[in-house]
Amino acid sequence: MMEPLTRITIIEDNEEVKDGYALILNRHPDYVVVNTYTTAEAAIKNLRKDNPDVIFTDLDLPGIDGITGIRKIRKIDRRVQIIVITVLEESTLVFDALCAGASGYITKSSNHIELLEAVDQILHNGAPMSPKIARMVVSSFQRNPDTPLSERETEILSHLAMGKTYKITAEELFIGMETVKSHVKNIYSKLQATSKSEAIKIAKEASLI
Amino acid sequence: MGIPRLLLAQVSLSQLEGYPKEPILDLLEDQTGIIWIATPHHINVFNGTGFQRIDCADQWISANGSSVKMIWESNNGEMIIGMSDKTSILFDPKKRVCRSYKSQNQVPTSQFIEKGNLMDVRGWNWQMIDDHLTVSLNKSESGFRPFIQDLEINGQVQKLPIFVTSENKVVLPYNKNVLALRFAVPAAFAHPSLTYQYSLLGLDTSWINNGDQRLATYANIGSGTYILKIRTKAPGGWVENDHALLVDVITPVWSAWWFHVLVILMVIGTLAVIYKIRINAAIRRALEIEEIRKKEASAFRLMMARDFHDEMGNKLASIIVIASTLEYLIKDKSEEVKKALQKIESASKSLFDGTKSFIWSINPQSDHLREIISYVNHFGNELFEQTPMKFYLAHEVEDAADAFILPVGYSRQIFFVFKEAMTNALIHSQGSKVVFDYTYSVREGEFCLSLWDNGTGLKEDQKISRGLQNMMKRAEKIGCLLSLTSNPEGGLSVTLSGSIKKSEG
Repeated sequence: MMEPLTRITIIEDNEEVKDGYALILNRHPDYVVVNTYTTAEAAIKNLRKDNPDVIFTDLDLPGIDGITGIRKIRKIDRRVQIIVITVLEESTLVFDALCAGASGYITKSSNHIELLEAVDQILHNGAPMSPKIARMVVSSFQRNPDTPLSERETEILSHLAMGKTYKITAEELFIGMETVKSHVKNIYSKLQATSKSEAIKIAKEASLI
Repeated sequence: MGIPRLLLAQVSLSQLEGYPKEPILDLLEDQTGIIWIATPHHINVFNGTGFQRIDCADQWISANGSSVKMIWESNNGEMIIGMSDKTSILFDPKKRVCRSYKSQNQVPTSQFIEKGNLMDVRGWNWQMIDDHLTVSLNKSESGFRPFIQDLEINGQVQKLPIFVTSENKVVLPYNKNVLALRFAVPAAFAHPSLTYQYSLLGLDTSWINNGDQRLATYANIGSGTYILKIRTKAPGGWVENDHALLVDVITPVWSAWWFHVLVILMVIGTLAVIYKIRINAAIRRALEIEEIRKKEASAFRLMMARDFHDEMGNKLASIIVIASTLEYLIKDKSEEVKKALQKIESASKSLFDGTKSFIWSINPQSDHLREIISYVNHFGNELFEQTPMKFYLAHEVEDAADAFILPVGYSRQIFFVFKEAMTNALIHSQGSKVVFDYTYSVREGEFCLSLWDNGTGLKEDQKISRGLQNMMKRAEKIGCLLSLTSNPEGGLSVTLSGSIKKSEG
C-alpha cells in the first residue's frame, strides 16, 4: 500500500521563492504542494480544504503577519507542522514564531537539497535550533517555571544555549544526533504550551477572559 | 544755650547733687581722674557733676565703728581707707568689695601712691571756704584751658561732667548727627581778645580758627570715631582742653567693610551659582540632544536593516531559489550547464550571506559584544558543522556581555577578522579543534577575542598572506591590536584586543 503523499502548502509573497519551492517540492516523489498563497488569510480560509501536513510560511506578509497567521492555523489544526521561511534565522521574530506554534525554520537562501531536508527533518527528526534561539527558549522557560522540561531536555537546551552544535552536544551527552533533534522537537512543543499558558495567565490577570 | 557752669573764678560745689553733709576730711584724685572725698562716716566720689556715696564701703565703715581719717590709692587702683582706730579698709572700686585689716601694715598692697598737693587737682585749687568745697583757678596757663560747657546733639542738650575724661564718649547715629558744642575758659581768664580753635580729629585735617566765637557745629558726620579738641591762645602759647571728647558715629551696616565684603561674596556666589546652573543646564541639554541623536541614529539603522533585509534579502533569495530550481529540474544537463548553475547559486549564496552579515552589522543590536560573540560563534558552528574539525565556544555567552557596547562599525570588522581566521584554520591548520574565546571588562572598557587551533601553526619563514594583511587592516581600522602567535603545544592563536575608552577619547 502506497504511503500517502505529504501535503504541503506554501505561504510566501515572494513569487520566485514561492514558485521555486513549489516546483522543487512537487518534483519529490513523496510530496505534493496542494496550494500556494501570498497571504495568510487566503491560506487559513482554505486550510480545511487543503488539509496540509506541512506549511511553509514567510513571516513578513501583506495583511496579517506570519506569526498571527501561525496562531490562527494552530487554533484550527494542531497537527500540521509549520516551517518558517526567513532571511535571518537569528531573528527574534523566528523565536516568536516558534512560540506561536511553528515547528522549525529554514532560511530563504536554502537550496533545493536544504529545502527537502527541512521537510524530512520536520516530519521525522525535529527541527534545528540555533544557539540564539536556544537562549531565547531558556529565558522563556525561566519566566514560566510551571512548564517543566525533562532533565535531558534541560541538558540539551543548556548545551545549545552555550553555542554548542548538535554534533558536539550529542558527543558530550553520549547520545545520537537524531536523539538531540528529537528532544529539540519536544522542547519546541513545550515552548508553544509555555507561551500559550503565559498568554492565558496574562489574559486572566487583565480580566480579558 | 546752656548756662555756663564756670563763669566765676571760684565755684562752690555745695549746690551740686549729692554734696556730702559731713565735713570733708580728705580728698584725692585717682589714676582714672575720679575725685575721692572722705568724710567721717562716708566715702564719696565726685565725677564732675555731682557726688556719689560708695555704699559698700560705707557698710564696712559703719561696721567698723570708728571714723574715717584719710584715704589713699594703691598702685593697682585700690583705695585704702584709714580709720581712727588705726585699722584699714581696703576697697576695690572695680570689684566693689571691701576687706578690713587690723593695721595699715597688714594691707597686702605693696605700694601706696603718693598723694600730691590735694589742693592742686587738675590745676584747680580746692579749698574749704565757709565749710563748702570750693574750686578756684590758679592764675596759670592752665587757667586758659578751655572746657566744653555743653553739647547739643540733634537739638537735644546733653549734660557733660565738668571734668571730661577720656572715658567720655558721644555716640551718634549715622543718619542724624548734628552736633553743636559750646566751650569756654574759666571766667577769670575770659577775655574778648581770646581766640579759640577746635578740631575734630579724623574729620578736620587742621585746627579751625573760630576767632573769639565759642560755638562749633558739625553736621552729617560720616561714620567713624573722632576726637574733639579745643584750644585757646594763652600768653605763652596754645592751651588745649584736658581730655578729648570721643565722638563715635555709628557705622551703618551697609557702610561697614565687612558688609561690602559680604555683598561682594554674595554677588560672586550668586553669579557662580547662576553660571553653574546654566552650565549644568547646557550639559544636560547637550546630553539629551546626544541621547536623542543616538536613539535616532539607532532607529535609522534599524529601519535601514529592515528595509535592506526586505529588499535585498528577498531578491537574492529569489536568485538562489531560481538557480537551485533550475539545477534540480534540468536533468541530463551538461557539465558546463551544471557548473554554471552551481556558480550562480554559489555566488548568490555568497552575496546573500554577505548581505545577511551587512544587515546584521547595521542593526544597532550588533554593537553589543554579546551579539558579536553569538554571531561569530554561529558562523563558526555552520562553517565547521560538516567538517572533521570541531568548533567550540570556550565558555557560555554571558548575559552581562550585553552591557558592553562597542562603537558603530566595530561589529562588522570583528566579524570579518574572525571569519577570515576561521576560514584559514579550516583550510590551512590541519588541526582537529578550533576554539573561540573572549574576555572583557565593562568597567575598564577593554575586550579581547581570540581563536586558536591545534594545527601546525605559523612557520618561521611564512609570509604574511593577503588574508592576514586584510585582517590587520581591519583591526587597525577600529584601533584594535591583532596578534598572531604560535601556541607552545602547536597551532595558532589569533587575538584581537581593543579598548572602547581609547576610541571614545
